[in-house]
Amino acid sequence: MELTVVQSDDAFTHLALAGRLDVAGEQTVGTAFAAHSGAGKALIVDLSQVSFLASLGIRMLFQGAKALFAEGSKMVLLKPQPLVEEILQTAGLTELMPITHDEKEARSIAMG
Amino acid sequence: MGGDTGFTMARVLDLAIKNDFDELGRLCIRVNDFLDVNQLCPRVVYGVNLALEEILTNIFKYGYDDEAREHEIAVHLEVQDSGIAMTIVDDGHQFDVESAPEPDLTTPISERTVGGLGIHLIRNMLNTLNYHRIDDKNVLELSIKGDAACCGAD
Repeated sequence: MELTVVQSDDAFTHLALAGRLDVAGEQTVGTAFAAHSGAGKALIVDLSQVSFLASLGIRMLFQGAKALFAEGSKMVLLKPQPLVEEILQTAGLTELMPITHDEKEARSIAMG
Repeated sequence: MGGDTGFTMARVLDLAIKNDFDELGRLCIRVNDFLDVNQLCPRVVYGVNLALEEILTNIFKYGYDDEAREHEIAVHLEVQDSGIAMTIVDDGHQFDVESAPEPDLTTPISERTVGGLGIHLIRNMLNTLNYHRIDDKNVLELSIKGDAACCGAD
């Protein structure tokens, strides 16, 4: 599991995750992800290279989204693969973690 | 992988793992090799991975009080048509996955917790989920059907 900062400025941070976001994946990137989501800036999380997402990974994303929500900021999930998106929809948490496949729209939602 | 029976056939895989998170990664590699060989469709592969991750994690976390003692958990996978039937047997505390409560999706989103989410996810992805308590063991039978059109098998 890898976490990469694609872009970061005063307004938002754009992260990309890659690999399996399972127990081992969450252990690898969880601390760094929590640091980014705790920074109080809007967050775009590119999931296009995440091949597997389980409940522990959803918990990691959701805790980040809740932390941002408490600060008046937002998290947007970008380009999840179809089965990962199905899992996110089933989890019923997209109100706080909206999903888009368009990068411009992701920025618009994050900055909105 | 401790306790591996080594019994691997083209359409059946039997493994035994210890109640140790480090075993999960090794199990995952063996299972995915098996799924690859059988050319199952992506949704079946995802469902098997999800079920094993969520159920084994639950067993590791909540199944045992005696942390110092090793326990063996048996995992059986069998290709059936274009899907998979699985059985997971553990000697942990009785836990009926079938009757586990659904997560509360009505709580305001900012107050929501994600307890019970794993079981909710596998209930939605799998086709069957049957629990039995037999000889002081939890026996969980699961299955996920595949779409023959997207699979190499059958």
